[in-house]
Amino acid sequence: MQPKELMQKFIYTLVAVDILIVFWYLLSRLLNTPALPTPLTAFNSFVQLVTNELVPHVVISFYRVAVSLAISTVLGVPLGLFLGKNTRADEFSAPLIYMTYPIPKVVFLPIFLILLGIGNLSKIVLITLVIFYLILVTTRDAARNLPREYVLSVRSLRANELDLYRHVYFPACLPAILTSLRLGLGMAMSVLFLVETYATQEGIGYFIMNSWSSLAYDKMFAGIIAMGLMGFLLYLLLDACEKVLCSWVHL
Amino acid sequence: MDYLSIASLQVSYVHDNQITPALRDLSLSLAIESTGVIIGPSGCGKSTLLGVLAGLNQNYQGTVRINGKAPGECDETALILQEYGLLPWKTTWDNVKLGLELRGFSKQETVLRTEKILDKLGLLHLRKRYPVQLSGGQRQRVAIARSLVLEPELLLMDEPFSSLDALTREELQDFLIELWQETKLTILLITHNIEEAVFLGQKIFVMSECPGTIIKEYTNPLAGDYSARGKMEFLELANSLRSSLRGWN
Repeated sequence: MQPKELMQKFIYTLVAVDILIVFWYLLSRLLNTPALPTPLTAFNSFVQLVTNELVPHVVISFYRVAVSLAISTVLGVPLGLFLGKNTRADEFSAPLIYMTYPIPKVVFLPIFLILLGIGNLSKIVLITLVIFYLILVTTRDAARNLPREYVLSVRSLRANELDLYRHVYFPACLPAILTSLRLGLGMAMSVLFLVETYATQEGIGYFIMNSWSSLAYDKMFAGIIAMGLMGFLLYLLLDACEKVLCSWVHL
Repeated sequence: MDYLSIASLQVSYVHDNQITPALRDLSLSLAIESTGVIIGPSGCGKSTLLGVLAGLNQNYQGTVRINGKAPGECDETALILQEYGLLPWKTTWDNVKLGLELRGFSKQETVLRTEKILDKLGLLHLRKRYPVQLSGGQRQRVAIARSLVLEPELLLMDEPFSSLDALTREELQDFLIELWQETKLTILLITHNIEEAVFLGQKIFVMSECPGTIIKEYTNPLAGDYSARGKMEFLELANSLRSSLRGWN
């Protein structure tokens, strides 16, 4: 990217942040309640907490989200490509996916807590399950709708099945996969908050709920800022991946 | 000697438990180092035929021989499609070398041959571009380069120039003739453009409506003659073809 473009992007981001803060400030003044402190109070406590109390919570939350994203990608992408490519397997599995996809996976939280314990495992499994479906369905649909001509022309060069995945299906579906990852990230953050409010004393979700129950609203907002920043950074990371891996889309 | 021979080829598709014949009793033959053009109405099974010849569809009845071998065993064929043939996520360079990569050529050999063919077709300066950054004519040249890099003996082309504007199309037709004179490939091309058929085909095969079969065969001495375009004989043959296609005789 050109330095000029980068500068422009930076300025736009800054303006967006300013708009958010102004909106927040006006709202807090308007409501005039301790539950919604002004941005200044919240950022103050964020700066105070970020170096000590917040760090371990952010680290554990980041770990849970990152591992879940990685596992669901590793499982969802190959399976999605396989189903999109093989009509038979797709037809066979479609009813199963359609029946289980709309079930809100968070209802399984109590079961996972019983079966997998209250450690990281149950949380990661639940987040993974939610994003896995999203990635699976998006990847499968992208592979399904791939123009047949690409496959034919590469097959006529004597490509075997593995070559087709490598040179045609995977690169063709990569933009869709990255889009599903970005959407999945948003969902992962919400599920993360939910799983961290039960039976745990670690994680940014716990931090927020704990501050809330001790009526420390400025602390609570410091936690919310931390969570927002974490999502934003992960989002930027995925964005950068897309720029590098799918440069051909943006020509 | 016939390089390509097809005898009573029959292909059917099964869709919703119904059998739809696509090709019936199709026979044709093409001499080595010659050009043949297949022309026919849309949906007559022309692409099905090329699919069989390229070894993509093994589910057929009848005999198909390319240099004495069945299409699936024959590594000397190359297929060029109208559109979508090039992979949009690969640069010109990566698209062209793909065939060599898939056939397990060494890295050195791949680079050498890719560079040679791109240079020959005047595409070397476009090697870092993606297909969307190329014009229609350039794209089709890259597709031709990708086929030629494998040094095929039989070039199969499915309406290769139909999405190009008139001038670019003629330019590429000339280019194809030059290429043919130089390399002595055997070329089988599908088109729905009558002038293109007369300019490119030493043999012209007219196909019927679906299920397709050859209803008429022309031997065309005008093929590849640049000055022939606009000549009386050229127009007469084109007219004759036109009436065959309309089923007037």
